[in-house]
Amino acid sequence: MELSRRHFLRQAACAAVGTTSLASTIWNLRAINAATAQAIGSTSDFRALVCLFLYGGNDANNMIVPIDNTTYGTYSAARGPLALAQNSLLPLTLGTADPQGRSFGLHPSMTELQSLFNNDRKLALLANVGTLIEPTTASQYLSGAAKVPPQLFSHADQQVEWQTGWADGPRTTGWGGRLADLLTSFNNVDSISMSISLAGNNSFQVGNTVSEYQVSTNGSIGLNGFGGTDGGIRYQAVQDILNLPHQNLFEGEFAKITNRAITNNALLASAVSGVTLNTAFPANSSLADQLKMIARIIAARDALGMRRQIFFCSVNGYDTHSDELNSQSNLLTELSQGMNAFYQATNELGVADRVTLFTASDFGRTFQSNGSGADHAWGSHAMVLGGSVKGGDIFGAYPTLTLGGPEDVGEGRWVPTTSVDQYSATLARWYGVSSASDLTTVLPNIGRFGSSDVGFMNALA
Amino acid sequence: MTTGTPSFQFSRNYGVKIALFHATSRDLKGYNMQHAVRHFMIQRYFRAVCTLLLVALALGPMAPDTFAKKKKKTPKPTAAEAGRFLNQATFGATNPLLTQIESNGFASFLTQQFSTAATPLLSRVDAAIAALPAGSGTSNSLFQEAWWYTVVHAPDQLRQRVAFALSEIMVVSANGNSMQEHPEAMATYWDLLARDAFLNFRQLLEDVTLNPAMGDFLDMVHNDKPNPRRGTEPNENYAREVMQLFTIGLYQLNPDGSQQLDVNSQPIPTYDQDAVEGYAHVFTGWYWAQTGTPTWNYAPSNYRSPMLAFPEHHDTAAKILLNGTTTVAGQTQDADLKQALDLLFNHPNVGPFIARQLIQRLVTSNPTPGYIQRIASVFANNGKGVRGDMKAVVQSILLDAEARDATTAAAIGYGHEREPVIRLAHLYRAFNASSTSGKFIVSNQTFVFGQAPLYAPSVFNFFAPTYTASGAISDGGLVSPEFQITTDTTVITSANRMRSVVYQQLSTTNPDVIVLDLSAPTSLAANPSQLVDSLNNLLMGGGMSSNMRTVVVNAVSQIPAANTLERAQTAVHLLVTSPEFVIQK
Repeated sequence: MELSRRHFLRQAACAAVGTTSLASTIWNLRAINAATAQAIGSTSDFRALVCLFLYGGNDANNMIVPIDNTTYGTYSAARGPLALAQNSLLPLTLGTADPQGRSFGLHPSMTELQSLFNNDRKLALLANVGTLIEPTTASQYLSGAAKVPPQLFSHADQQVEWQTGWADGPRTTGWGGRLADLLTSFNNVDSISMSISLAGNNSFQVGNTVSEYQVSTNGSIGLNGFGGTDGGIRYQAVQDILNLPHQNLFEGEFAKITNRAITNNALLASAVSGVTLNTAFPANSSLADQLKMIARIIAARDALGMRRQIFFCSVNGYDTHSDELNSQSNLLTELSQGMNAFYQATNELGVADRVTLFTASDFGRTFQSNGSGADHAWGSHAMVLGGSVKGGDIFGAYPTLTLGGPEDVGEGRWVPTTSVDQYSATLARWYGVSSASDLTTVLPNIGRFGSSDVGFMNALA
Repeated sequence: MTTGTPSFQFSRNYGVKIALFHATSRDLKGYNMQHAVRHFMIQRYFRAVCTLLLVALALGPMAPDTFAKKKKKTPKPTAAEAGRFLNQATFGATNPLLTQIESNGFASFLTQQFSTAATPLLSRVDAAIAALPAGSGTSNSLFQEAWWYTVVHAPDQLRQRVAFALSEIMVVSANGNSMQEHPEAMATYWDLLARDAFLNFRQLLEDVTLNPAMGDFLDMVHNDKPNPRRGTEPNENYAREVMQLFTIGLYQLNPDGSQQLDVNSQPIPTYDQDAVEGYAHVFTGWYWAQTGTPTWNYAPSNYRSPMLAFPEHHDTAAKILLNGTTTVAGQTQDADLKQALDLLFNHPNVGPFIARQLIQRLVTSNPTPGYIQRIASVFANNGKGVRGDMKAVVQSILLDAEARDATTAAAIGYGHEREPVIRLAHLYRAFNASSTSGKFIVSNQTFVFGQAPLYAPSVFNFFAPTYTASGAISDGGLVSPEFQITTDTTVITSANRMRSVVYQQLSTTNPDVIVLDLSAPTSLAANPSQLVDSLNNLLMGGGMSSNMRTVVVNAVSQIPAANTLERAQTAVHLLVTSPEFVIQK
């Protein structure tokens, strides 16, 4: 059946010759999709993970800020020109009191997320998470006694280490890719990839067998311009050239990507065209555009024959070495509004408890300022949003914020108290990784850390 | 100071061991990917270069001086050889340049190019600004127009092509920052790269460091000395990236570009956080150039002149630099800068680090260690005792046997993907593109191509030199930087754009429409074989496979002979969207 589907697509592609859009002539894919949906069983078992990567290194020191007088005093003294006004912060109602009795607020731009935390209880915060090879203290770091991830404080390296979930491992696959490798049988074999990127190539989604499929915020796009009397001749020749044996590896790869794009476009364009989504997304926001398309692809899960989807989306601009107060305010406004719209969309689609969005970023930033911004640091705070999230709490250990204190390895660079591995493992377990050995396949270093469940997810029924 | 150490020796031996492993474990012809062992990315360079070396060895001996000997014996390049060369050295071959190289050879072309002055983008941008209707603001689109016009038309093709390569190493971008409204910032930076492309690397490094667009992009402008009262420290942005990306990279290198390894077989970092902070302190005290009495605060931005020194905002304490070197306290701002930049410039990594990336941008993604070492040695000494002579470096890259030898180019891992904007520039150049208005506006580049000149998403460029596409390329131990922007979206959008350019007709309503002059291929349309062979040299350096030639000739022949333009368009369309055109070999 799978082979015949491929065969059908090829026939359809040939039949498309002479029209302006290949996708428009994939006439009865939906009938086929109904069959594939049955083949993989009920989609009530659907689950999706959305990785939202904040490229550049989000200064989460100003995203979650202590607001009790004592701790705020520590904060404002050390942050200097970057300190946010105490009364501007948006108070958080914690489900579980902070062990040190502190209280916290969100950045003033994050009103929607404050509501999702305080009212909906669907947003959880994870404090001071970062790349680690083994549990590490600041004094171990400073004395050189700890094994630490290669090239801390370097953008490219820390992005890769976050996305591979294996700080000292080979950088050949990402933890999302390995997760997709494991669970690939949940989807119809001939559907689009389980790993869908709205932000181009990334390390997170590279698997051993599953490779990511990149979609634009407008959805997928097909080859066009094959009208006219010669269109059929040219289209056939384009196909023939792509399908030639390519000895050169780069030529072969380019042809492979192009062929994959043509096939996937036919599948996705048809499946998404039937989707209705009424939730309003913010305008003029690349992030909102990405999240909206993700919601549409989630909505098309039955037509696509998919019970598992892993998405990647991203925002640039978090490398706030300068002008941080202005630029981070804009960025967090976009983030708060975009994440909120996405959560509302999953509610509209009736899959809120089936979809979990989580944030990640290169690293945190120095607690000390460089005058108008902050420089590259290490541990940082993250957010998790979804119907299955144990919202309304801060998980992990929020740092003492003391320069030269127990978490500081220099200029207010916090040594992480929760590893990326633990953060990722908690999400992978929710997504459906059940055995310890499978979890080790996805997060190879997880056994070095105390727990593989940070506790911010409710198990699905 | 780093060569001749035990680790250097160890590393060299390690490389040989890997080469032997490859020789015994891999069938070079079958190239069985499925069973290839996955390695650390840092080892991929080893594998890649060793694989290529072996392929080259398997195909025949190739001494470094092969080309020099050949040059004396071979009278003149063929059209195909000229086409290959021009696709490496320019924004794409044209018929006049093919003729020129066929007559005069490569060296003569290089000599002529080295003495051709830079075409200034800034003057075109300024003319466009002057022509704006009153009240309309400036934007980056004016720079983009000037860039496209220049790379398509300018006579200093080699200079512009090298400037583009440099712009992807020493990255400045208007993407997502306030320079979006300052086309003069990007034009000034571009002109700097084009001017310095054939000067000394030390000059380039200092000019880049003090350029105001770079100062804005990486926050050296207004970088203040420590202020204990406010609790602030100097900005570390430029300090880190000038080391990591512009000069020495993260790890100690051997002269052939391979990593040195310590006794535990681990790569050795080139610098630590102390050095980043030391350089951050060196780079304090610079602000916008100004007329009148300079003021440290609230001066208007000035993207046209190098940044101005403000000694009272420069940190004069002693600073830790590389490898335990320190500056003495009380040194002047200029002396600090000179010492710090000299130290970077003279670091043994710079030659192999820059050589690899220039080779990747111009010739091939996976140069052999020998190729890198030959170029690095020219960087170290141009033969006249001068270090950092960029003219000598560029010449050596393009005339090296590994760039010129057709047998080498036939290896399965040779070459690289031509960047999408270069493919489009070549299409425009090959067919003498023009618009009625004389403007050269290329729309929607970031979406269509995944790139636009001086518009990278970050200082890490559109793609990393180490990026490797998963699958056959990764399994083969090769890197493929340009594939980082080669997505399911951009393969289609770029093919659609190339197709639309081929078929674009003059518009009566839009004078900015760019159209090709296809009269030359149209005149050959009666003979499809001749048409395709001519286009093969012009567009693909004669590299078209016989299989592909059969497909194209067959397709063209199916179109009625009377439809000569349609035949030409069909042939050009099929070529410029083919994997064999996209991959430059």
